[in-house]
Amino acid sequence: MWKRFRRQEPSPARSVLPSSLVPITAPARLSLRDDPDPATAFFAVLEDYRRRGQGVALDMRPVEQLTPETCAMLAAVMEMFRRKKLIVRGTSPRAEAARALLVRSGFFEHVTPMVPPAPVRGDLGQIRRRRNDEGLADPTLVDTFVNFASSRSISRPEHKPSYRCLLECMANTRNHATEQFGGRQPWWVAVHFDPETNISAFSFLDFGVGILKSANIRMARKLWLKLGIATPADLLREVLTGEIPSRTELPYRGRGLPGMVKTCRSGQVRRLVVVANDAHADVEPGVYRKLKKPLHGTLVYWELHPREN
Amino acid sequence: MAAPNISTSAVRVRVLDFTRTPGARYRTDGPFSGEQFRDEILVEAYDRARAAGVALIVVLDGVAGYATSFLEEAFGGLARDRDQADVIARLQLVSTEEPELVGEVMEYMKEARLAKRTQRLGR
Repeated sequence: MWKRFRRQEPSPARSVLPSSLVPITAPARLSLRDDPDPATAFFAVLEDYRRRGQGVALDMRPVEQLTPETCAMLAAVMEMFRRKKLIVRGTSPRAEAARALLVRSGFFEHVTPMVPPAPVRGDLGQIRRRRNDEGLADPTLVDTFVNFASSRSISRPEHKPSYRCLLECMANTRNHATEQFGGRQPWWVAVHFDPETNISAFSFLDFGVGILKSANIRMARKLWLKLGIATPADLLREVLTGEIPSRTELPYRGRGLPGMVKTCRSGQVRRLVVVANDAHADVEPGVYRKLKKPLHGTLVYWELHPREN
Repeated sequence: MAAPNISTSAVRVRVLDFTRTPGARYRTDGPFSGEQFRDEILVEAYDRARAAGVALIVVLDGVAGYATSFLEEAFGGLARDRDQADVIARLQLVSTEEPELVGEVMEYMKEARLAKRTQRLGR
């Protein structure tokens, strides 16, 4: 009986895959928020095959920890594969919470499951997500997402900081994610509500040039980087605190990201995490680190926690 | 400059009459931008208030929220376009839902002069 059950679950070994698909195994801890190096290494491999026009077979079974922002990124990456008409097949995580998140993220809208994902028991959260090809700042959509989060446990005014953060993200992508001003860069947004913790998690991402490449980094700082005096993490911190100005060189521009940081420091939003190029910022504890592998694009994540009475 | 007499009838603007969902900075960024609000509503209201010698009251309440860029472009932009000192003196902001917005917008208007000078110097 056991053997028969085992046989029903195909492994992503080459024998059961079309020879054109490259097998890739996801790490057990897949979290750009909490443990970015394994996650960015995984995404770098995916991006490499996508650029080469190569389909992949993803073995997601080992994934034990999956967080909403990484799930949003994964679904977006899979959508990029599909848009390039590349085949992706995949398994789902054995761990129930990770499987629920992955299934609800839209991942399997772009990935052919090797076996149907096992059912998930209980209410393990709700996700709302959207892609925008025009890359415009869309306040009506922002309102919809904020309403989605606010229809849960927190009163509406506390969601105004999320309205601000989400619009700033969209405006930043609109104005800075391409090499030239006014270029068009699609973005993705996802909100995940966890009924156990009452936490709403917002994820915003694009596959543009990344914050560090779009920032106005002067020659001196570039030299410091080369000499190892400064790291990308230092630069990201300076961009987020407004010490590095907007590339427009207009003193009244470039307040969006520093404004988000202030919002986080004042406790209006929690767990603000920014991943861009080869730097990772966990703003609340003030931890900035250089990544071993760069992330293609920019990811911004934050949470809304229930009110503490 | 003497502060406008606010006891007389002031010109009153509600952002909510423009939109419930304010957008980002420029029209090119998307709908209901700060630039659009300034050009279509705020400048005209300011000019009317100035001509009448009364205050301009702007009510920020009732909307879904504000992006920093919307506020800066609308109010900082007004201060760059018009007499900055008069704008600061004449404008009265009302925000009971987010009182901290008043200080934030005042800061944008005060810093507008520096921005104007920097632009003039061609930086």
